[in-house]
Amino acid sequence: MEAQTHIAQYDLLFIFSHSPYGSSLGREGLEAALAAGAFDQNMAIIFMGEGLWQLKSEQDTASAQRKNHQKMTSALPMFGIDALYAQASGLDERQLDLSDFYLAAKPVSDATIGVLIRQAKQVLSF
Amino acid sequence: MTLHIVSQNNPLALKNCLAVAAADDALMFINDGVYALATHAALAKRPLIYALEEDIKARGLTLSQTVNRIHYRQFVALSCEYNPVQSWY
Amino acid sequence: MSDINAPLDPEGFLLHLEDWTPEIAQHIAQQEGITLTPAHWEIITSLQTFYKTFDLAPAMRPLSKYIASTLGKEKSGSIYLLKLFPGSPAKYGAKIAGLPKPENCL
Repeated sequence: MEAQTHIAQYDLLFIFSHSPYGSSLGREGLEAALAAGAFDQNMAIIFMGEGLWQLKSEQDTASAQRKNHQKMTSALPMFGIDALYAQASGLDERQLDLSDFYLAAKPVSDATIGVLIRQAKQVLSF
Repeated sequence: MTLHIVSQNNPLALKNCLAVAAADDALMFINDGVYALATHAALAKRPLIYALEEDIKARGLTLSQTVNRIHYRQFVALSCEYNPVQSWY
Repeated sequence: MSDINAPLDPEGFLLHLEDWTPEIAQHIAQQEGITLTPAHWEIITSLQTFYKTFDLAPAMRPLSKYIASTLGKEKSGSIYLLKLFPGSPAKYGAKIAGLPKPENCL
C-alpha cells in the first residue's frame, strides 16, 4: 500500500482494452482521448489485454481500406498525452515487448493498474 | 475503492477485471455478466461479489450463496459508495 | 463559392484533400478575408503534412505543438497564428489547406 504514494494520480484515466480493428471501440476511445487532450486534461491511458495491439507498429491499412489506427494514435503526444502505460502481464501473454510499439509506453504491473484506477477521479473504458 | 462492473459474458473482459481488482474492491455483475458468475465457481469465493437479482432471475440461474444478490436501488447505492466505477466489457 | 470546382461540406470545407490546389486555397482565403503570404503558405503546408501523418485535422493545441517541432517555436504561438488566421487558426487554416473541419472546434 505504501507504493501507492509513488503512483501518479490522474483526473482522467482511459483504459483501452480492445484491439484496434475488431470493433469500433478502439477508434472511439482514441477520439475521446484526443478530445480530452485538446482541453489540456491531467490524463493518462492504460493499454491492457487486447488493447495492447493498438500500439503494435507497422499497421498498414491500405489494402483493408480502413482508417489507420496507428497514424491517429501517433498524434497522442501532439495533444500533450504522454502518460501511456502498458500492462506488463498482457505484453508477456502476447509475446510483445516495447520494441514492437511505435509509441513509448511505460510497462506496469496489474497491481499498479489497480492503483491507477483507484486513484483516478474519472475512468473511461474503451 | 473501485467498483468493477462486468456486464457481458466475455472471458477477456473478466480476465482484465480480475487482473487489476484489489481484494477490497467490489465486483458487480449485471446483464450477461451474471453468466460469467454462474460459470466461474471460483469467482464466488471472492469477497464483495454482487449481482443484480433481476438479471439472475431472468436467466434462470442458480448462484452460490456467497454472491450478494441486490436490486437496482442497492446497485445505485453501491455506485455512490465506491469511487471510481469501472466497467469492463 | 461556385468558383470552387470540387465537392464541399456545408461549411465550405473540401471533402477530399486530393481536390485541393493552390488556386482553391487562394479562393477560400479570399472568402475569409485573408490574403495569403509566404508565412501563410508554410502553415498551410504544415497542416497538410500533419493531416497526412496523423490522419486528422489538428485542433489549436496539437497544431501549435506540431508547428513548434517543425517550423520553430516562434511560429507556434497563438498570437502569431491568430495574426495569420484571425478568429481560429485551426479552423481557417484547415479550411484553406483543404482539410476537414477539426473536431472540438466551434
